[in-house]
Amino acid sequence: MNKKRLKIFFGIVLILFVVIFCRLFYIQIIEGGKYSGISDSRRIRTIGIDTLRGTIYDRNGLMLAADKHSFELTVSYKKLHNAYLCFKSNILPKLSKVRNQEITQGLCKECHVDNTLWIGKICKYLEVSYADIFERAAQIVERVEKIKDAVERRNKKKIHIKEETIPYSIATDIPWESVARIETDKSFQPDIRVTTKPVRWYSQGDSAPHIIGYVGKLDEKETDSHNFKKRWFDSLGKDSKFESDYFIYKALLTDTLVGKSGIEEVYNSRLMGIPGERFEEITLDNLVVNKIILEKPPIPGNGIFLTIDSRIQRIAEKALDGKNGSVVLMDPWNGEIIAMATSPRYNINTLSKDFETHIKNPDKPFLHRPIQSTLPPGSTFKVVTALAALQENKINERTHFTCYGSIRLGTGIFRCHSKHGHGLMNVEEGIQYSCNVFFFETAKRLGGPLLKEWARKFGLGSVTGIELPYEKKGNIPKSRAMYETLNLSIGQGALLVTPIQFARIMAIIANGGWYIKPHILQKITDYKGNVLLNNNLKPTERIGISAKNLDIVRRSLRKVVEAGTGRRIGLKKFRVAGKTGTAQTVHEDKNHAWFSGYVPFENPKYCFAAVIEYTEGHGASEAGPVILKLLSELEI
Amino acid sequence: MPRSVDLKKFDWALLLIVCLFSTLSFFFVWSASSEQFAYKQIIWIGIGMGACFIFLIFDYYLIARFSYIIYSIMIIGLLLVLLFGKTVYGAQRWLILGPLTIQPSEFMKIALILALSRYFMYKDNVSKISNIIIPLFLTIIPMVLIIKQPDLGTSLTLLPILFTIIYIAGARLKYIFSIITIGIASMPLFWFFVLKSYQKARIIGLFWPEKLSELGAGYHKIQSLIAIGSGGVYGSGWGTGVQSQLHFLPQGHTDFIFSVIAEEWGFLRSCAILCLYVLFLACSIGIALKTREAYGRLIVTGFTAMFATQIFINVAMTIGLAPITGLTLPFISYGGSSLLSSFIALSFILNVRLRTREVWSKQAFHE
Ligand SMILES: [Zn+2]
Repeated sequence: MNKKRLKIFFGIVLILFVVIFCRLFYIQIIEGGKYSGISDSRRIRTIGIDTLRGTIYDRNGLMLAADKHSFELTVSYKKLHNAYLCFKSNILPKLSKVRNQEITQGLCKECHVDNTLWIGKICKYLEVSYADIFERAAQIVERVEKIKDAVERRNKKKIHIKEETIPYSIATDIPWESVARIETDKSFQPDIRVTTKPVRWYSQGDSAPHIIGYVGKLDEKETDSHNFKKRWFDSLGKDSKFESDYFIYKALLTDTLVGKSGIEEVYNSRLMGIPGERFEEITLDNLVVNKIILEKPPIPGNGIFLTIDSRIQRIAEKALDGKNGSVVLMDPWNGEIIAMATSPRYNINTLSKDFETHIKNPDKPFLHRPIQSTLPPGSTFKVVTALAALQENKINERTHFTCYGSIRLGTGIFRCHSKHGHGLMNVEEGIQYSCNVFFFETAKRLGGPLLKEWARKFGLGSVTGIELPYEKKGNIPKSRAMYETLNLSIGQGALLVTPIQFARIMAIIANGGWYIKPHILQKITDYKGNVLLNNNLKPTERIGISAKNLDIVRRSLRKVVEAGTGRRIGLKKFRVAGKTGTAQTVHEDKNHAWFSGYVPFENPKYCFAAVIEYTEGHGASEAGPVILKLLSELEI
Repeated sequence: MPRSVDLKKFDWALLLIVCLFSTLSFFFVWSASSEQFAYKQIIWIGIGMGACFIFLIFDYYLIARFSYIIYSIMIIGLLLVLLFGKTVYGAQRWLILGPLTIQPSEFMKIALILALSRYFMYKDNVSKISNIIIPLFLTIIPMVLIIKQPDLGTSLTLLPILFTIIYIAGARLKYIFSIITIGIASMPLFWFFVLKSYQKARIIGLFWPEKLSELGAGYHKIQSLIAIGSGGVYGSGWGTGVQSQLHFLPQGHTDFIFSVIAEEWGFLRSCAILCLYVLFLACSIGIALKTREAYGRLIVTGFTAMFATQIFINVAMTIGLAPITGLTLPFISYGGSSLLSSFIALSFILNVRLRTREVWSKQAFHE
C-alpha cells in the first residue's frame, strides 16, 4: 500500500469535481440567460400545447358536447407594440413620448403606414371597429410592458422577456369567409395569422342544458383554492399521477376551460385531458425556433356516455313547453335515467349572452327542477302510506274504512276532496279514488314514527346520489303531532320531495322492491374509444316489502288509470299504472300537479314522475297529459 | 484488546462540515417540499448523529471481525427486498420493518466496503490475479441483486468502490485495466439481459434527450437544467426558485435537491457547497494517509470513494452529465436510509482517525 496511490485517487476525484465546476459555470453563467429568460440572443421557451376536452355523448353515441375548432387571429407582439405606440402618441401627445418618437423617426413613419394598413384591413375583414382592436392591443401591450419594466428594474439592464416573443390573440370566433380573406392577404405574413383554437360546442344546446352543464374559466380565488402543493404530496409515490396533476394545474393557470355545472363539472377531471408541453430554443431577433428540445404530446380528455336518450329527452322537453315543471323517465330495473326534462330551460350555446335575462326571470330557468325542486308530493305519497301500513300489518286488502267526506281530530276537520264522502273503501279503492279519509284512518293506525321510517326507506329525505351537482334532499317532517301525521299520510304539509326521488319510488314498486340507484353515466371511454369504465349498476338490496303487498298497490295503480282519478287522461291504451297527486301550496289557487307511475304495467320498461309547479289544474289535468304526450311519441 | 482512544485526534473539521450540510439540508428540503418534510429530516439527522456516536464507542477492528457476517446479512436483506419489498416509483427498494421502511441497498455499500477491506487486510502483496477474483464476486453478487430491484444507480456505485479498494490495496494496474476491459466487453450482455426498458431509456436519454419525449426521462433533465440555468450567479434567493416552488422539478427534495440549491443560491454559493464536499473528501483522504493500519486505510478510502461517487453522479445528473438515477446527495437529500448510511460511513472515518497511532518514524516520513 503506498501513499502515492491515495494521492492519485484524490487527484482523480479533484478532476471530476473540476468537470462539474466547468459544467456548472457553463450552464449558470454562459448559458444562464437562455434558461432564465434574460438572454439577448437565444432563449429556451416553454410552450403549452392545448389538449382537446373530452366529448359528451348520449346513450346512442350522439354528440352532446364537443370541442369544435374555431378560428382566432393572432398578431406578433412587435406589431401590437408599434401600433400601440403610434396610436398612443396620436391620441395623447405627451412630451416625453414625442421625444422618444423623434429618435426613431424613420421607424415611426414606417409603422404608421404599416399599422393603418393592417388594422384597417382587419377592421374591414372582421367588420369590427378600430377602437375594439386598439383597446385589445393596448390591454396586451400594457400588461407585457409592466412585466418587462419589473424584470428590467430587477436586472438593471434592457432585456427581452419571454412575453415579447409570443403572438397574441386579438379576435376570436372568426367566421369562415373572413378567415379566407385574411389567409389570402400576403401582406399579413408572418406577423398576423389565423390559428385554430378549440371552443366548446353543444350540438343540442337547448336540450338538457342542466344535465350537460357548461364550461368557463376559473377565477383567481378558485385557482388559489386548488391547493396544488398539498395534492402533490398526497400523491407522492405515484409518479405518473403526479405528472398529470402538474399539467392540469398548469392548465388551470393558463385560462383553460373547466366545467362549471352539470356533467361538465362532475366529470371535469375526466373531460379535461392532459395538456402537453414543448421546450424549444429560439433565436430572439427573428423568433425562429432553432430546435425543439423536448415535446410532451397532449392527451385528449375521456369520452363520457350518458344514459340519456336525446330523442326522448327532446320529446319530454316539448311536452313540458310553456309550463314550469319537470319530467323524469327512468329504467326501473337498473336506474338509468332515459330522459330528465326541466322547464323553463336555456340554450347553453348562447348562455353568456342571455345570462342576465335568465337570472332575472322569476321562473328560474337555472333551477334543475327534477333534482333541485323540493315540493310536497300530494296524493302520490299515498302509495307509500299504503305500502307501509300493509307491510306493518296495520291494514290488509280486506280492511275497510268509511269516508263521510271528512274526519275530525280534536278541533280540526280533515277533509276528503269528495264533499259527500266516498263511502266504504278498501286500500285498492282508496288509492284508485285517492280517498283522503281512508288514509287518515290508516295513518291513525300506523302512527307517525312508522310512516316516517318508511318514507326514509323509500329514499325520501336523502339525495338519490345521481351524478349531478347540487341535488336537494327534500324533507321529512319531524313533528310528532297527530295532525301532522294525518297531513303526511296524504303528502301535504312539511313533506318535500324531488321528482327524481318519486321516480325512484315508482321504480321500486315496479321492479318488485329492488333498490336502484338513479344514474346518468353509462360509460367512460378514452379518446380512442376504449372503454375505461362501464357503469353497470345492478341492484343488490331490497326494500323488504312482500310481493303480495306490492301486488295490491300495483293493481290499484293500474285501476287509477283505468277507472280512477287518472281515467280521463287517456293513458289506458298505453297500459300505464300511476298515481295522480295535487299538492296545495300557500298560494290560494295554485297547486303542484303530480303524476307518477310506470309503463307498461305487466312488464315495466319505464318509470316516470311528472310535476307541473304552481298550476291552477290538478294532477290528472296538468301532469297526466305531459306523460300522455311523452308516451304517444315514444312507441312502446 | 481495546485500544486507547485519543480524543485530541477527533476530527472536528469533518464533523463541522457535516453539521453545515445538515443545516443546508433542513432549509433546502423545506424550500423544495414543505416544513413538515424538513422537520422529519431533522429527526433523521438526529438519529444519524446518534448512530454515528454510538458506533464510535466500538473499535473499528472489532467490527472488522464481523465484516463477512455483516456482508452476508445485507445480502439476505437484499434478497428479502426482492421477495417482499415495498414498491415505490415502480422499484422495490424498501423493506418494511415495523414502523420503519429501510432501503438495504444503501447499507449494502457499507457492508461491501467492510468485506473488501477485510479481504485485503492481511495481503501485503496483491500481485496474483486470483487475489482479485474473490473481491470481484463479492461486488458482483450485490450489484446483480440491486439491479434487479431495479436500481441501476446504486448498483453502479459499487464499481468505483471496488476499483478504489483494489487500487489502494496495491493491485497491479494491468489487472485493474483488464477488469475494466472485460466489464466494457460484457456491457452488451447487460444491455440485453439485465437492464429494464426504463433503464435503457434513461441511458438513451442522456445522449439523445429529444428521442425520449414520451418517456419522461428527458423531461426531468430539461426541467433540472432550466432550474439550474435560471439560478445565474447569485440565484433567486431561498424559497423563491420558480422551478422548485411550482414543483416543475420532480423529487426536488430528494434526488434533485442540488437543482433547487443551484436555482435559489446561484453559481457562487452552489460552488461553495461543492468545495465543502471537496474539503470533506480531502479530510477523509488525510485520515487514510495518517493511519498505519491496512484495514483502517482501506475502509476510509472505500467510504471516500463511496461519497465521491455519490456526490459526483448526483450532481452530474442534475446538470445533464449523467443519466437520471435514483442517487441521493449525501447529507443533504431528504431520506432516512441514505442519511443513516452516510452517518454510519462518517462514523467509520472518524473511528479510524480516533484510533490512529501516529508514528513519526523516519521511514514513514519519507515514504
Ligand atoms: Zn273520501
